[in-house]
Formats: sequence, structure tokens, C-alpha cells
Amino acid sequence: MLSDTVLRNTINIFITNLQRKQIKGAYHIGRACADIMRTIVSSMTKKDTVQQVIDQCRLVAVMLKQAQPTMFVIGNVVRRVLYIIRDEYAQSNSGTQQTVSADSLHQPNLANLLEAKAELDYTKPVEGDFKANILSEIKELISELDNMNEGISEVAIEHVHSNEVILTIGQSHTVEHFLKVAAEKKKKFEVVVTEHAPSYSGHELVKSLSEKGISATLISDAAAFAIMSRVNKVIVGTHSVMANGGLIAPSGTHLVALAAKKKSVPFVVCCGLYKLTPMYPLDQDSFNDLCNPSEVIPPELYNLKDAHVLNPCYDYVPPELIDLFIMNETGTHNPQYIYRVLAEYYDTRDYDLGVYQD
Amino acid sequence: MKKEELTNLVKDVVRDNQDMSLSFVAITVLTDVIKRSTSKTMMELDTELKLAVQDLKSCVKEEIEGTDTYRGSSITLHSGCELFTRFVTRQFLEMKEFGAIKSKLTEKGQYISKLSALSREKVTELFEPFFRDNMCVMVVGNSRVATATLIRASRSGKRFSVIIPESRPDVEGYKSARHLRDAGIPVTLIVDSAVAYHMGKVDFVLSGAEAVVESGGIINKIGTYQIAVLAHVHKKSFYVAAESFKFVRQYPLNQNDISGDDHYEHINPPPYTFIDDGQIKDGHDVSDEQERRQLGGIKVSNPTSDFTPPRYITLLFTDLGILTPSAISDELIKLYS
Repeated sequence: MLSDTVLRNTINIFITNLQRKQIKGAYHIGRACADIMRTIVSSMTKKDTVQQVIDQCRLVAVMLKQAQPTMFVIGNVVRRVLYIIRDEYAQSNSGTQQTVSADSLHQPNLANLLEAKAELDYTKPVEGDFKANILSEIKELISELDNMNEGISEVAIEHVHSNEVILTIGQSHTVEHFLKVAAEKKKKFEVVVTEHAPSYSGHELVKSLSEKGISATLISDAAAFAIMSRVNKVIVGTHSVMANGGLIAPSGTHLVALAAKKKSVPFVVCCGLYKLTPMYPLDQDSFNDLCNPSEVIPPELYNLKDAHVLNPCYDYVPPELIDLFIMNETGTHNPQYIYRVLAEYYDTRDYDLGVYQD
Repeated sequence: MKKEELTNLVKDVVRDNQDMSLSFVAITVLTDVIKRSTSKTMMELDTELKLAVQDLKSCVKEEIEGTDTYRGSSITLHSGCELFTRFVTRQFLEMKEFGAIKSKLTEKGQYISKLSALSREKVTELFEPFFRDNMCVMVVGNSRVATATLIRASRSGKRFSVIIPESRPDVEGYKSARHLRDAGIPVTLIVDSAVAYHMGKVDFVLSGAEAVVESGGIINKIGTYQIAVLAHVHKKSFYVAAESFKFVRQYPLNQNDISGDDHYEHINPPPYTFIDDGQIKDGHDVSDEQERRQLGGIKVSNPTSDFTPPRYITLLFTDLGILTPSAISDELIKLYS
């Protein structure tokens, strides 16, 4: 499968783009990743075993992750695909075995604790509709990614009421889409946007909202707390949702979440299901990255002696500061429920995709 | 099986498996009961098993008295018995022929005897990525799985230090401290009243559990609750390492719910001992007649276990995976539905 030169080239180009950050945005990266997974599966031949396909997918995932370690969507999309493969294989095998549901076969639980777990044999080549079924499910996954924002907006719109003041951080495409849909549905509301230094993506959002005739107020990041008492709801996007229900979100989110908690303002997170990551953050440093300091300080001041300039990309927001998640496919959850969603879409064996070895 | 026979069996199992949890002793003994059973029907076997469970509960109380290994509430024993009877009933429902059921259940014995070690291994494996270099960990009581977790992390090259409260009244903390020191981990022993003093420099608290209840809270060695509350106030993570066979279908709401009830009866309550110069001396036993006369009119309360509500627990590490407290009820419902 990976011996295919066209596929290898596609992967290599994608890796270079990731490393140079020439491909940006979780959606685009996730989408490209799903396409690569589809190509891997479709290049599988009659002789290949399921284990081989799984190994190839994991290998590619590790290679891609190496290019941008904090881009969790890569791993997540691959985990979704692996889950599809495992589930499909378990189903095609359940004909020969008993009526055990595919789920209870591979998820450890208290009920089958005392039974020696019968591992599925993945080392057999598969025949029949197996490949076609997987490909059609991957196609569904891709269309799920494409229609993600519509799905979220549909649910999220119930949470906007007349004359409400909504605060959001910078520009999240999901939140932007949802605000515009809400305006189209003749909902009346006001939006407060923090400018989100140093990227100042908030400026873009305010511009785009005002073009649609939505009343928007731009504030500096430091004013978030001051304005919080006038806000009815905080709605934000995120970089990823972690397994404990916490967030790895653009830096500045923790600050707003704390202000919201202090003023008892509901803190709502809108994001695609593909941002759900089965990993546990420990503290502010785990899964963080540093961005270019030139965004913070103008280049002419570069020759400053003994001054450090830091520009961290992300914040860890603990689950107790979050009131609600709105996702496509699964609807609304509180942070305590995230473990359930994880079990529904990923296989525990794929939580750890392994490390890169040269 | 006669009660004497069962008693001997329990003694044997306890002697051979010093580091096994009591719920596991129960499962091992009950598997053996089935193996030796002469029952011809499911009904007979079921009755025999129920009787054995009863005998087991009473004989553990009598026989284990005085052995050092088992202290705490009898809830651990109940969870083991419950899990096993549930398992047997399911086999009854799934299979039709009695002979096949019996042979399957005895066959399982082999696997089950390894399960305790397997579960512990899984828990320690899951916990490993949570250690970072130069961390400071507070360990509660003398939990086998918690110490195993620390030792594994240390062997894999993580450098961290451990703070252990002495864990009165039976000073179990000394035991874990010695154990961890022997494994080459830097250990500091503190008195229980100094937990708050040290909490600021701790990175996370690691505790074992006698039982994990349906709400996701835990029942554990006395003192666990107060450490959990202190960790919460200091915004430190409070992690629990526990094998899934410790999950019980109980829903205590406060401390009164776990005392006085038959389920939570204390096995082997430790005497009050007083410690001098960091050495365990024979000390004074408050239950001692003479001492009691001296204390005249003062009531002494000596609970062995307390209940820690789920809101103080960050995550539970079990062989079923890393769970949030709210995931526990889910697992229990899956078992009993």
C-alpha cells in the first residue's frame, strides 16, 4: 500500500506543508488526512490483512503527527478511520461467532472482566464487501467533516435568545458560521468580540459580522473581565477537546473562562467532533507550543538584550470552567459526559498511536 | 462445602497471596468452591454458592483478625462476591448444559488467578505518562496498586519524590515509605496533621481505594477524605488507582452511610498506638482496660475507613481505562443491566 509512489508523494508533500505551516486550519488538515486514509484503504489488495491496513494507517498518522505534534485532528481523524475498520471487521466476523455485539468484544468493561477476552484475529486477509463498506463509511466521515458547521449551528441556535449579548474570543470559523445562521433566522442579538492579540483575528470577525448586519462590539483582550457582567453567554471555538472534558484552546481562552465563571456566565464551546482527543492534559505546559515572537514584538526591537519574548499558542482550560459542549453528530454534552462520546467514536487500542521511529 | 473446609481454604489463599486484595481472595475462594462442588444442577450450585458467600463473610471476619495484611471495611469482600455471583448467573443464562457451565467456570479459575496481577499491571501502565521529572507526589495510605504505580514509573527512569503521611492509627504509611525507599525513590514521611503544610509543593495526590462506589467516590483508609479536600482546596489533582473488581453497587452519601451497616463493617480495626521518635513502639492501646480507666468518661472513636465524595476526585485509573468519576456508574450499570 505505502509502496505506491503516488501515495508516498502525496504524503510527503502534505508533511512538508504541515512543517512549514503552509496548510492551516484544523478543518483543512483533518480533511486532507481523511483523504490520505481513504487512499490507503482503497489501495489495499486481496492479499493484505486487516492488521496490515491498521498498521499502515497508524504509521502514516505518526509520520504526520511528527510534522506538527500539537495538531490533534490528525490523530483523531485516523482514530475515527481505525474505529471504522475495526468495527467493520468485527461485524463481518460476528456471523461466525456468537451474537456478541461488536462493541462488547473490544471495549473492556466490568461485565467481561472475568472472561478471558477473545481477541479478534486481525491477521487474516478479508474478502467480500469489507473494503467497499469501509470506503463508503470513510466517505460518510468526509461528508460529516464538510457539513460540520451546519450541524453545529442547527443545535447551537437553540441557545441564542432574543436581545442576548454573546461574547466570543477572536475568530473561530465554527462560531462565525453559527452567528451568521442565527442572524439569518432573524434572531436579534449582540456580539462582543475580543480582538485576540497577537493574531488580532477578532478584527476579521467584527468586519465580517458587520458586513452581514450583525451588531458587533470589539474589545481588547484585557477588557474581557470588565465587560463580562453585561454578557449573557460566552460562545467559543477550540483547538481541541481533551478526554477529561478540558480544552486545549487558543491562548486567552482560560482567562475568559475564569471571568465567565466568576460572573456565573454560561461558557459554551462549539466544535466539530473531530476535535475530540483521547488524551489527558496535565497542566498548562502539556500539549503547548510556542508561536513566532515577532507577532508580539516589532522586529526593530529584536536586538534587545536579556529580554525574552514568549508567544504561547494554547491555553489549557480545565473542565470545571466549561458548561456545555455543542458538537455535530452528537449534539450537546456537559464535560462530564465526554468519556461516553470518546468510547462511542474511538477504540481504546488506538488512543496511543505510537511514536515515530526512523 | 462445610464451613471448616471453607475456612481452611480461605486461610490457604490468604497465606499464598499476601499482596492480593480481599475481593480477589473472595473470587479465588469461590472459584474453588465450584471446582470442588458435587452439585448436579444449576439450582444446587447456586444455593451452594450463596451459602459459601455467607460463610466466607463470617469466616473472613474471624480468621483474618490479627493478620497484618487485611484491614479496612469488609466492603472489598462484598464487591468480590457480588462480581463473581453475577458472573456465574450470566453463565447460567448463556449456556444450557450444566456440565459445560461447570467446566467453563473451573477453567476460568486459571485466568482469574492471574487477573489480579494483570489488572494491577494495566493500571500502572495507564498511569505512567502522568509522571514528569522533578514531580512531587503525595501518596495516601498503603495501597498496593499505588506503590506498584510509583515503582514502575521510577524503574522507567522518571525522577520524582514522594511525600507520605504516616496514616494513623495503624501507621500504614511507614510500610509504603519503606517499600518505596527500597525501590530507590526519595521518600519523606510526615505526620497526618502536616498534610496541609506540605500540600502546596505537591504536584498531585495518588490514592488507592478499598472500594469505588457508584457515584464515583471511593471508600478508603481513614484520612483519605481530608487529604482529598485539602488537595481540592489547593487545586491539585487527586488521582485514584483501583482495579475494577473494587467497583461496588453502593451509593453512600456521607460518612454515616459507611459505618454501622453490615456492608461496611470493619474487619480488624487497628488499636490506637502512639509513635515516638519516628519509631513504632508497642504504645498504648486505648481499648486497654487500664488506659480506659485513666481516660475516664472520654469516648474514643476509631473509624478505619472514610468515604471521599466524587467531586474531590480528578480521575480514576482502572484496568478498564482512565475514568472520570461519572463514568463509574456507567460501568456498574453495564454489569447489572
